[in-house]
Amino acid sequence: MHGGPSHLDTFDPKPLLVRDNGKLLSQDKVKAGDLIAPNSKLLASKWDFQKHGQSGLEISSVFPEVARFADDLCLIRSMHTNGQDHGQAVLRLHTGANTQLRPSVGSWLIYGLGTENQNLPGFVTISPPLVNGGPQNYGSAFLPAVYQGTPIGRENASLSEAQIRHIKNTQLSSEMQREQLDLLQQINQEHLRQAKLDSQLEGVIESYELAFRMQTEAPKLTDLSSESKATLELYGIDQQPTDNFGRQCLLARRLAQRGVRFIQVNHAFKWDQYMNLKRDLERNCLEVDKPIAALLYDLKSLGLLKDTLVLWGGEFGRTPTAQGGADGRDHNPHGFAVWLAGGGVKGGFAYGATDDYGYRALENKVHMHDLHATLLHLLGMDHTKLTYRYAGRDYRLTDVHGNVVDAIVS
Amino acid sequence: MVDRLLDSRHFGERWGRHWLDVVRYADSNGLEVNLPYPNAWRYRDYVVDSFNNNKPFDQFIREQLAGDLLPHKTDEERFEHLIATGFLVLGPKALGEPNRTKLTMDFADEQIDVTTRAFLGLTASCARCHDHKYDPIPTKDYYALAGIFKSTARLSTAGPGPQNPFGTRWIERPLAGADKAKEVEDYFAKLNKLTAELRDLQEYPGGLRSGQLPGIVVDNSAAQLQGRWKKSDYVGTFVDKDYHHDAKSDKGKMSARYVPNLPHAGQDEVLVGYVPRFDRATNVPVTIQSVDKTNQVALNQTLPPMYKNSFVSVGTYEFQTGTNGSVIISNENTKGFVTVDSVIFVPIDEWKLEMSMNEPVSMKASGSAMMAASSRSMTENARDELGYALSSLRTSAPPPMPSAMAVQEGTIENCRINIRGDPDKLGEEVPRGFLTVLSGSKASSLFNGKESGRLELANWVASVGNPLTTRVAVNRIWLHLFGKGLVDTPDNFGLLSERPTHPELLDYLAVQFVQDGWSCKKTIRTIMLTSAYQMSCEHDAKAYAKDPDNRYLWRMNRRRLEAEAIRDAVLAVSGELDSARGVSLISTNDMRMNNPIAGMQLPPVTSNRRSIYLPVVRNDVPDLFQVFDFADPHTIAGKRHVTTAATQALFMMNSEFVQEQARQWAQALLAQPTNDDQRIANAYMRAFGRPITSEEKQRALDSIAKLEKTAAQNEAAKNRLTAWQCFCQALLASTEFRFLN
Repeated sequence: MHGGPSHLDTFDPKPLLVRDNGKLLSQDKVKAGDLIAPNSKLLASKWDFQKHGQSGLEISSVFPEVARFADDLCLIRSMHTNGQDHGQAVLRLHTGANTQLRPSVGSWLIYGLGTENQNLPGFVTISPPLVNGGPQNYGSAFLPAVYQGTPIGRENASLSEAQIRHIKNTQLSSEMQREQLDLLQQINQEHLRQAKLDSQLEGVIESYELAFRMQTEAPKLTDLSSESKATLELYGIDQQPTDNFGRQCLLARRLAQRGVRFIQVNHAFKWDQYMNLKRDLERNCLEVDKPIAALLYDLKSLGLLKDTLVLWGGEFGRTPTAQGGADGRDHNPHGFAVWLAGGGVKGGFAYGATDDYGYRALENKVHMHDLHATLLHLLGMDHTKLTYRYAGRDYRLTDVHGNVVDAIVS
Repeated sequence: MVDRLLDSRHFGERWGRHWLDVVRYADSNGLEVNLPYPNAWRYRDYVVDSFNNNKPFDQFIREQLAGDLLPHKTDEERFEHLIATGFLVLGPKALGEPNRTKLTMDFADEQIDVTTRAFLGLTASCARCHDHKYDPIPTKDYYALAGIFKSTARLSTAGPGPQNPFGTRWIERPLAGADKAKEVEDYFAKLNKLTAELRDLQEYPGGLRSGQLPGIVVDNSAAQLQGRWKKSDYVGTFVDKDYHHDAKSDKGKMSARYVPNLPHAGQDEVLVGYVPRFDRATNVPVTIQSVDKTNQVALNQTLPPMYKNSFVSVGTYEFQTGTNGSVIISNENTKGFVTVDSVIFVPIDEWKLEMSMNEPVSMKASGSAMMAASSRSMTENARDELGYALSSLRTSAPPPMPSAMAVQEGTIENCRINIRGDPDKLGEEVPRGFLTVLSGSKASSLFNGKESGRLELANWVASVGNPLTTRVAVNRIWLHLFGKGLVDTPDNFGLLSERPTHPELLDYLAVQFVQDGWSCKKTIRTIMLTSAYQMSCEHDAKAYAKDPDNRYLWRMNRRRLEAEAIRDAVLAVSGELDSARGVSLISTNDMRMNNPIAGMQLPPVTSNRRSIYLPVVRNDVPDLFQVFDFADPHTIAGKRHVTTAATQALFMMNSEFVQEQARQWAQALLAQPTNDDQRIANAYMRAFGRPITSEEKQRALDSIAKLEKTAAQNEAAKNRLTAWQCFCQALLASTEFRFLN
């Protein structure tokens, strides 16, 4: 949810914010270095929070479909990060750093776990943005290029026609291409024969066969025609406004089924509600609520959720104070919420808390580095041991930081 | 042959590129504020020229670290030295960082990192937070270096834009002598005077008429104005009779809503007109309501607008037919004057056409041509005359002063230790100096307190007495000749580096390098004439059993071509390579280069120039480069990865680039006045540099015949071309093409 979704209007209810609506935020809440505008007035949420499920997790009325899965959600309400601006925080979300180039979470993950499906990339990002670091957010930085994320589609473009780059030959029939490949491989084999033994050359020869298999495999992946009408309806595909995000979520499920290790579904840079909070947050949630719920339902009923970890969130949250008249909120890296579901986390569980107004994480604080450490832990890796030597030292996703949040592990 | 290659002007293009990897060369800033570097290319060309001219490497070092402080005989020499210091400025900078102290220290860190790794093979930046864990570099030494860079001016501030919230920029210095600067100054004085006179006489005092603008124009006179806007025609370029301003009052209460009546649905470029001046607001909120979307951008009205001196693009948006879209400009949260003039909505195709005419857009306003179209009046002759004078003055405009990314001396001050790297937690002050492990403690006495110490640093790094500089330099040369360094971590000679495989050889080469006057060409020549270099890649089972990694060089390593070499070789074979050299392929007139509003993506450059001359845009590296291990231009990379991946195969099989080049080559082959046997032999010679065997020839002929049959298009000539294209592409995609034997 690119732009900084408001935790105060979605997953973090604040009764005192409702009571004190319109009052000034007292200055003792503000620390040196905070960029919150002085004399900002508190702004109550425009949505009601209700208890949901057995667990009674409180979720606002803007996410009715996701709320039905309350008992599967593991809410972290005490997130905090660094970076007041999108670019900084988005890079920190994806790579743990913003002043220097670091590998993306997904790159670390497949560097650690390897890839399961030999015919597909191990790390796929669906409709990634071009701004706020762009490809750096799924790049492998100093890790070898095989660990970089493979984009399918891009932000603000319809996913229905999107494909992996160069997956299709636009000029040759597959019969011709096979003949061409036979000729090419004969030439390569001749070269290898003369070299006698060379693992690099063997690798290239194998890469052509793999590419040829990928060409058959990948279009099947993005072709949704084999999915039932009920499934398409479940995800809101061919309906507005859910069509595009529904396609993204369904593609994510198909990738997960095929053993792709790390899949990122990007909703466009639309979550920056510094104005028109009411209209735009509702619009955003209408676009994503149903598809997200469909993905959870689908993963659950296919038995995949128990070993698939789902993470929902954005780069930061929003201030309890108003901006843009009385219908917007400013950026807030000091306190926000994300949720996890599935693989190894407690369901129907809320962890940590922000202060009375939801401005700053207070109890059981979870820094972005801690979240990264916990993600790696849940996927079977120790964040202090997953290292790569570069520029004279061993690098980690969490640098010298990060603590696993044991309390959320089931 | 070695001498011929060393003398070729392409020598510097190849070896210069290796150096550009080390210095993380790019044509844009990268990270989250990815602004273009319109002058980075001067540094790139400087590197190419330095290698071609065999500039002594110690001189090359001094120029890059302290060129601005070196003596010079001519202006040209001074410019060259200034350009060289681009080395210190080219790195990625977190320009969006609100904490200026942190930004300054981050920038110094980047400079320390590139300086110590590129020249000394040391990772000194580890010592920013704590004493280096492995190498003898205490935190104190780090802050001694940091003081040198902190005393060097590198940052400036321009107006903020939405991509660059704090307006932080790097420094560029003019490459002009004093008379040139005077000439430019005089020109602008004259131009302003004439423009002012002409404006007084004009019926359209702002110089622009809505009828002559492209697209649908909504003037301020037709906008829905909220609040107490004031009319003005006081200053500048504007559309029709007047513009409005907010008199710097009633902040948050005034807005202007522009609703176009659009004849067609589709993508429109939206351009907002305003009248710039130093006292304008820098963050005027503009809200664009398009189909299903509301976008907001901020305009900096202190900056001159690019289009017709009056408009900036705020982006391309989708609109429906009729009056559904709108643009709202308000004065909320602004400080300076907010001005509103016309807003125009130009269908994207029309806009592209307008841009492709590629006239220097800012020169288009008013002038005599426009005057001729206006109705005759009393003042008309005077106006015509002035208009004529103005337009002829403009045609004689001196070219804009070229400038280079460079540094200069700043406020001279020592640095205090940042405790655990936190710039807001300060420890003791450290006098400026070098790394004590290499220089001893005497070094800081070299500093006189009036200068940053950068010149002393440069002289020290480039001195014969420095034990690392020459070894690091010759090791880089060895690495590029053998595909593997004597020390295989070329940017790190510290404790965690690879041990040298041949330490005595490394020492010998380093000593010889100095004796040869720090000559890269001589060192390359020496190595190329050794029997080690001239070995073949032939396999030897016995040697392989003992040394499978070929650490002790029982054969030559088989090396894969780098991304650049693959692309350049494909273009050379197809006959399409454009070997022109130097200068920038990015037009400095490109709106996106100069306009802080319209976004940061540079347009893709389609060119068949050698790869080194393609702009390197951080976060937007072209596919071929990405898949073939081009080093990410944010990072210092003395050695690239060599990976094998299916994405490379997909690129060679399916990319438009490879298919197009294969087609060009096939066409050229078919046009040769000879038979197919000979064509195939020629193709092998061109692609692999060796004669074809009879077996290979037969196989190629059979394959082509088969492909021709399968192609099964209606025209025989087409089938034949397709089959030959397939054959040519197979050669380009082959391992033999991609690897050096």
